[in-house]
Amino acid sequence: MATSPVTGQYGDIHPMFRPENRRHLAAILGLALAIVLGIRAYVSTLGPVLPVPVPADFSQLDSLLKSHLMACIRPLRDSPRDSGLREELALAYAANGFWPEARLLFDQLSTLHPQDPLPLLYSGVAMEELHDPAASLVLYRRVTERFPQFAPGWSRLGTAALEADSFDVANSAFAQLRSLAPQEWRGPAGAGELELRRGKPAEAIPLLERAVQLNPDAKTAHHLLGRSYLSMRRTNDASLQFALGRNAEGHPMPDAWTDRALAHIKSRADVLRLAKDALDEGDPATAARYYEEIQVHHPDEPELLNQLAIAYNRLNQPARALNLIERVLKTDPRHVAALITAAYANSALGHHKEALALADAAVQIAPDLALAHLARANAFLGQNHDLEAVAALESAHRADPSNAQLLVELGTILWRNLDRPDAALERLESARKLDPALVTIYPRITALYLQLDRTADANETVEIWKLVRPRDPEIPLALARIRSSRGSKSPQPNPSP
Amino acid sequence: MPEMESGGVGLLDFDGDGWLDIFFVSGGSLNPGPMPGSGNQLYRNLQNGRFEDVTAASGITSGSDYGMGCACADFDGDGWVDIYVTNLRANRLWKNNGNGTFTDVTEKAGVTCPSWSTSAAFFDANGDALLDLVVVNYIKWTPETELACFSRGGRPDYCSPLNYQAPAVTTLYRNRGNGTFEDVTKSAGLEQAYGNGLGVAVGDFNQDGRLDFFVANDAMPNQLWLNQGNFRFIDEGLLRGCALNSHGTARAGMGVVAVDLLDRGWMDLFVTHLVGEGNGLFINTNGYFIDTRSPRGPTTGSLPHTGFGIAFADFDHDGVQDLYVANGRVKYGDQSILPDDPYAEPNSLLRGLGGGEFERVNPEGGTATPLVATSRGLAIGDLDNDGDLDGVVINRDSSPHLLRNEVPKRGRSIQFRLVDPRDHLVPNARVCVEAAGRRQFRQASPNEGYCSSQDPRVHVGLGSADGVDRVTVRWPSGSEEAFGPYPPGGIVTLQQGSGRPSSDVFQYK
Repeated sequence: MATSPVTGQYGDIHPMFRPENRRHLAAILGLALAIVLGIRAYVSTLGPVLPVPVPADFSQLDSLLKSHLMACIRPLRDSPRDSGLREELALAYAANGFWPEARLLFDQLSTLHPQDPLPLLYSGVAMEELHDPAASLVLYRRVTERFPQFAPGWSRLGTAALEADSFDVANSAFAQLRSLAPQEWRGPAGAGELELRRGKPAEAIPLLERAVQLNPDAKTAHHLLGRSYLSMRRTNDASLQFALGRNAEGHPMPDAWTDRALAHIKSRADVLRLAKDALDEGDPATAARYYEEIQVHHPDEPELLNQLAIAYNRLNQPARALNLIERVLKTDPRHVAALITAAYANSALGHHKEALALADAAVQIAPDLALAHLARANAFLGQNHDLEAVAALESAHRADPSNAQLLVELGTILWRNLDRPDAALERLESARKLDPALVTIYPRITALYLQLDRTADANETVEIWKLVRPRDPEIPLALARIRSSRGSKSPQPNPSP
Repeated sequence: MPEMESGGVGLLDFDGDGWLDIFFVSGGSLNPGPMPGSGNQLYRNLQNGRFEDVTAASGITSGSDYGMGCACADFDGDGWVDIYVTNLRANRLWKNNGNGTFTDVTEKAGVTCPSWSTSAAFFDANGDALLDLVVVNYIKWTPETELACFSRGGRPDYCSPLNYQAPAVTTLYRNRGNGTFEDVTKSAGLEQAYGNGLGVAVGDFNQDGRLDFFVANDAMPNQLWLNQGNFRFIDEGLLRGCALNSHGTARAGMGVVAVDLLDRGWMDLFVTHLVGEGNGLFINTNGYFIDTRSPRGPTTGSLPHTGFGIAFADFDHDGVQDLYVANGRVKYGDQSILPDDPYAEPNSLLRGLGGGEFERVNPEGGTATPLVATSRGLAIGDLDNDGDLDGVVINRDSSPHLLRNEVPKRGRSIQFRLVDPRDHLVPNARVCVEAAGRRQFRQASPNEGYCSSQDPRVHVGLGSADGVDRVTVRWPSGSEEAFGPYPPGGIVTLQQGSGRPSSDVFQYK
């Protein structure tokens, strides 16, 4: 077996790192370091030292935010000519809403790095956040003039121009965006909105259909498409698009700084929001991380402990959740949210009687709160008391009739646990009426129709399902079941006499 | 949470002397027992620029009420204007006895509405000449469900209503005509949609001859309840384009007014919103709305402010409506204007230029020194009967502002009292004033804005016209009559049934 000439006693170690050569290596590294430090020291003597802005109320900020900002401010004060550090602080300020300070830093950075479009772009963003749309429009124009290949600049310009009624500018901006980033939904969506604002819904429709094709989750595009359909009197199509566009939020086109800025969010209110979003999106681990980060600074805050306990419950760690929530209930035994969280934790631990008692207490204090009734239903389900669970869910539905998800839960229990497909179907169809975009409804309704031998209705449901979530992998399975159901129901030859 | 949303102000002539008096709604305490401080207050207009506190003599008490707003109208048709007060808990209906005193008839009338109510409006929902009552509710809240929220800097702050996940339903009461009401919320279909309701505006938005109402919701889609007849309503806000902004995003709706901004005969909607959202204008196009943003429109300059009270009025008599907005934050302001009130903001005054264009008036708010406070309710009316419109702003934890109009005038004006054959004021009657070849459309809308009640008379600036050629009134019952001509100045009473038949002004289906 052949061996490599550099293996042997030291295996695969490069010859440079062998003990006899380490002294040379240290000398080379030392020299290199001296050169780098020398260059940096020379560069740092060039030009004026730029100021490092600090918010006026810095000392009053929450400790989490303050320590994060200080971790960005201190190194920049030590090396004020380090534009990388300046960039980090600018993003930290922007991410936490300190726009006057962020704007100053972005302005400085755009002077320091005239070849980088991002500082100039973010100067425009800062002006928008400071409620000066005219100034931001000027800056976005400058970005696109200087960096015509930079797609996010065109996207921002187009949106700002639409706001300012500058239709010609918006038109060329969205055209450029579509040309530079053909897969970006904001291009056709912006162009579609422009047509809509010009009173040309027929021209808007293909553009907006393209936008939702590029990103089926682009709620704004769905809403705009709904408006276009409505203008063309396609009311049913419009209704579905409005449902798909419900709770739309404006998100600008991402750029190279978007994720970096996100990592700088340390404002307590915003971290709590991020955590809540993560919980809502079914990511309790991320939510728990956010909450734990705040808890370091606020170890005994009841709301925070409760939210963290909810995250632990969803992570199947009910004992941890209970440990936290008992601290809350010790200081405030009538804390409704904590009672509900404790009920869930007890249910998960198999302490069903305790769970029910806690949920009962929550209902007694807040009889109009659907979540309290929901916790009660959950406690009943843990004891296999399905009828009582259904009654509790009905109460939850009465408290919050606009909540489609409650009807889905209700329908599912009526179907799976109580074998009442007709009643289940009624609830699920009501849920679909309330929120046609709630995609979890469709497989259940389809299956129920099939169970009730209503193949045509099942098929019709799948057709709407396709519009709601065109690429849902469950759709082909549902279609196969419908086909199979049809096959089994096809006329059989008459048996021989 | 409740202390951030209170309170409202009402202008009403409670003693029938022809001069507007003022009713202030005050917050309160969450603890049981009598309200600390002064509670709600009624001030009588002394007709000399001064007002007298007549609360005690009027019999109006606040008890443990936590006040939000008020709607003033003559609900029982006895010729005396009554006051409905919305509260955090049970509301209160004060019947005007006609002798300077009021009696609490809430329970007898059946309008307790034990929710957290905000704005309310009396209107004739079924054309029977009786005033029904719509009450907007905010969220299902108790002190036990209060949550902790924080400002960006980490200070304890007020929560968004979304944190509570407990939107409420709007309540509708049918006036039986015998001093009592029937709660028809469920049968009317209002339980089909929930929201964090703060503002309400009444008008016939699709011009089918029936009065509809719009509910401005905080951070949830608005509702446009279209009247189907027989006390049935359907929410078509989403389909008609006024539930969300043009991108499909729900804004924080606070106050709302129905206004025919372009004098086309269709009622548009203007809603006040949160800082960063800008106020919203929904232009009505044949019953469908377009969220309209224009750098020269009435929403201009509103981005930095959180708007609550709102009124369109022709302050300078040039024949174009101007706009006053009472502002005040709901979230802690990092750049405080007042050192002891981080929520305070200056109010806004915009001058209407015609064609839907506006310009901001400086100094901000139209006073020599901008009035900076956490403002909520706003009521506009001619408090000194000098023919121009004055205003009252109620501020949180601070004294109110009484604004006397001293704007240089660009023309004369005229005011109209729209009354039924018994000489009782008729809310929501619409008026088209023709002068010097121009048409101006107005509506008598006493119960709109934010938790407030306005001058029930209709005021019109005439610009260069030296009189009114014709006034056409569309009564809520559906009949249409023409009156006039009239010289400028003064207050003209237009009585239903005494005009000439007309059908050529309003475009009804």
